[in-house]
Amino acid sequence: MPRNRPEGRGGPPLDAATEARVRQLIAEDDREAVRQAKDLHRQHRTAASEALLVDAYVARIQSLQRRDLRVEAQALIELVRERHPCARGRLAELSGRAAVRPATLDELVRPLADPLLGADRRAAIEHRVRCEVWDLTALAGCEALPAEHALRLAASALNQAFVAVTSGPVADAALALPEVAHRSPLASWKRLIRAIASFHQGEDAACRLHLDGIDAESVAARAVPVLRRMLEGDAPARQADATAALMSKVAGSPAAWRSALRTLDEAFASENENRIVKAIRAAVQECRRSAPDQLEMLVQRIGVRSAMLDLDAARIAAAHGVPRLPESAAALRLLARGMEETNNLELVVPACLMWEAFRKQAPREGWFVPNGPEAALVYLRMAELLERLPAERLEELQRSVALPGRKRRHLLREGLDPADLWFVVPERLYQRAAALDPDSDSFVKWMEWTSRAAPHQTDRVAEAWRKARPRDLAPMLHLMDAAARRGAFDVALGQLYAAERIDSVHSEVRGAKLRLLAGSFMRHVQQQKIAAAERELAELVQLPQAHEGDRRALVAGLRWQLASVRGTQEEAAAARIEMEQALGGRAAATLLLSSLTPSTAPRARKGGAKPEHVRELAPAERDALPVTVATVARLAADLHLPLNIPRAWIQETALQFQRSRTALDGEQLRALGDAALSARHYELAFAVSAEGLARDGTASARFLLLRAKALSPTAHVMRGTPSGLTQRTIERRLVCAAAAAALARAQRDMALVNEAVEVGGTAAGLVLTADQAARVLHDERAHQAWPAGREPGPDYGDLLEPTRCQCPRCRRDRGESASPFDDLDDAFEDADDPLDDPADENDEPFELPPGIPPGVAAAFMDEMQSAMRRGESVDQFLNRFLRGGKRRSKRRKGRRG
Amino acid sequence: MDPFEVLGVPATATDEDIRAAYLAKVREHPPEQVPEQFERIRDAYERLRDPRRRMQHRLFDVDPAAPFVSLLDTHRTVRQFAGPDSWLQILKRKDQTSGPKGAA
Repeated sequence: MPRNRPEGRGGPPLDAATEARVRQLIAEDDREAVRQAKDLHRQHRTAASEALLVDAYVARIQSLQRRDLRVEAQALIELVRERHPCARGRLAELSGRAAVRPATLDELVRPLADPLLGADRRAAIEHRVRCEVWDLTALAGCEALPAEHALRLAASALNQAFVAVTSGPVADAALALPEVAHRSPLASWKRLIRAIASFHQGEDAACRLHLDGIDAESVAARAVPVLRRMLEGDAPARQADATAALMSKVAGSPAAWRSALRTLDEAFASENENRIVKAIRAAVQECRRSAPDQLEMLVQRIGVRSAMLDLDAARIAAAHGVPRLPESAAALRLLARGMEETNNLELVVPACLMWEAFRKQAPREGWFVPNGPEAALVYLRMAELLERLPAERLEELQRSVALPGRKRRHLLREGLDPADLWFVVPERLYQRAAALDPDSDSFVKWMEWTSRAAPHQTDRVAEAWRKARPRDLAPMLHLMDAAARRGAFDVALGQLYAAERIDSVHSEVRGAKLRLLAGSFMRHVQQQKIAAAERELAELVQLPQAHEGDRRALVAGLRWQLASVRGTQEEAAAARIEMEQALGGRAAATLLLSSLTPSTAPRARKGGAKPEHVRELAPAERDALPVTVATVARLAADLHLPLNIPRAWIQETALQFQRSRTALDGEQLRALGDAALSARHYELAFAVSAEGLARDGTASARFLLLRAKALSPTAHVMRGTPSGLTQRTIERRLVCAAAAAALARAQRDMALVNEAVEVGGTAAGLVLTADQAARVLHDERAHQAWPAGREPGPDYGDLLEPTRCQCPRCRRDRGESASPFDDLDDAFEDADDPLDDPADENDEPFELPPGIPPGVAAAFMDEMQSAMRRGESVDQFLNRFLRGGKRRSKRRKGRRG
Repeated sequence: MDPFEVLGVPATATDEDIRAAYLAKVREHPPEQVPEQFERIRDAYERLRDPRRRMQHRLFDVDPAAPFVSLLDTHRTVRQFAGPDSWLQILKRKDQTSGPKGAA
């Protein structure tokens, strides 16, 4: 076929399918493409067939160039240029690449030094620089070009910027790179450098924008894929190539970091120190690699978790290898919380020290202002923590701190500086909290603590409260009640009128008015100040609340009192009749009068108010005794009067209650229960609680608390109950109180919570969950019989920390104080004894000495209960107080109450 | 769960912000449709609506026994500087292709 046959005088046009088939071969880099394109062009001789052939040739030339067959590629270029002049433009570009590779960079760029170099050649060389030259250092120092050549200057500036941007933060000015022109073959490097800078600055959008502008054929484009992957947060591939190495260095390995943390969690869950140490080392190493910004937090958490497990601190520190970190507020707080969570009494004071340190450090770090409400909350927190300590231990600590210098050495030996322990007196914490933040809550907590720890100081707290918050009712009502209790009714009424000005419809204010007027009236009657009494009665009668429910009986009772003093028998009789009508019987009226009439009243008046013997009551009156007692109890409670129920009456009430229990409503049940308690008839109180619990409903918490109060150890000890049963009863009492508190908390009845806590005490931190409280409620409902002999009631040992052995040796090992009599227990230690069998006939009953007054007995039992809260068993307590330290019966390992 | 996260407000949110966030969440999760989620939202609001309780939460509600994996919740990958050599290892490789512009 002739080589220079004129083109364009064609045959038939090229059909699309045929062209497409050839183009497909071109795209697949198939050598057949050139042969078929040649055949087609031979047949058709059109511009389209020529263009197809040129495309096939160009693809072939590029293929040769890719395989570095440059001589062959150049030869083909010359051939095609000769045969197809229309392709010269495309071939010129290919020529640059097809040129035989210079042996050195110098040879490549040397021609650029010639200002007369042809444009095509210059373009070809610059193309190669753009697509192949990666060594900027070499280019910047290439002596084949003059020192001031634009390419060398650009390479130098780029090199400097590249090193800077991959090594650390750079200022924006360093990225200006005016030496690099827009059309420079090195322009893509500039974009790459700016992309890397944006990447490290976290400006992902800007980074992507720079990447988009990089020439796809340039050397700089080789870094685009890895940068895009790192922007997406991809993990490095497992193979050890340059990409994985770079990604690992830049971004670490999130998957490896997660795995290290999981392993650390599992190690701590195992509580195996060796395993934990190993996991700490690995986690810290990975943290340094993948998350260096979290190293401090990781080490803090490791420290706290290790302390909570009581691990070897030195070993842990050696494992993580991080030097002692400055104690930030966050670290101090974490440590304090960790100590709190251990529920270890030995850590209460250190936890308070941490909170105090936090209180000082946090303002320095800008958490909050010093001496503000936050500081007050920290003080209250510390006070709450101190409440976990048994009273005796706290007192011992306070004494230690107060001792003169050399006697406080034992504190220093324990690492406690007495000067830092100012807070061991909770009063100081509450005072400071109230001073910094005179919020009601601060005063409420202060008052609650004072009521428990120092009841004689409550008036002082109430005064301070009232002074700081003159519109709060609570302190006013407290002071009013205090004045009424000491008989200062004028003062009390003054407080009441002040309270009325603030909130006259408040239920406590309304109730107080009736109570105070009645109290003042009764005092005036007692003092024979008839005029004053008459005035007060007249005022009282005007009160709407005086006529609510059964209260008209109360008013009638007061009228009876006045008539008795005046000697007006008819008035007295009429008042008596009114009482009987209001209360539904003679017995109720008599009972109410006996409560209204003080023991110091003249004999005549007392005679009229004295209840007859129970056998003199009519059968119907005896049957109704439970309702009678409940009704009168409520009325007496209204006036805060003691209920004087003769012993025979309460015993008869207990008998009748079995028959008429269902006739009483909830309020009556509660009142009867309280009456039983005040009369110390615990079986009746227990029976009332059983009835109340059986009824379900929202009052379960209150009846559970009644159950707790009914389980009085006094009842058992006074009867000579075996000590095992007494111990079980005391534990049951504490658990019932804790369950009542939990239920009340759920109902947000904080008054009942406080009452329950008062009954149970802090019991070494016995706080039940909702599920545990529900279980206790269920168990108590199932046990309706008074605990005795074969029916001791539910065993709540599992709720009372059975894992902590309270034997003296274990307590000493834990650093807890041991009773001086504990050594005697060691001397008589036996093998396992049937400690859970309260019916063990070998248990010797304990009896109080005969003739001991009930009041003393009650105080004695309170002390015994406190001792049990401290962890002493009944026997240990009795040893200490009554038996002179000599062991009388088999020793029983006590459980913490 | 942190009550601030439940309501989607920052720790510095004001009373108005918290109330507005609460109302918005309740509209999104009405009690009759998603009672459990509503309960969480309500609990979170109760803990944050009172400034004092909010303060208590900020001060004391930190779990010392939180699992270590919870560190990942606050972890933001730090992009460390690898130095020029690691980058050059990539740039000197001819078989790196840039791919089409804009592709990941």
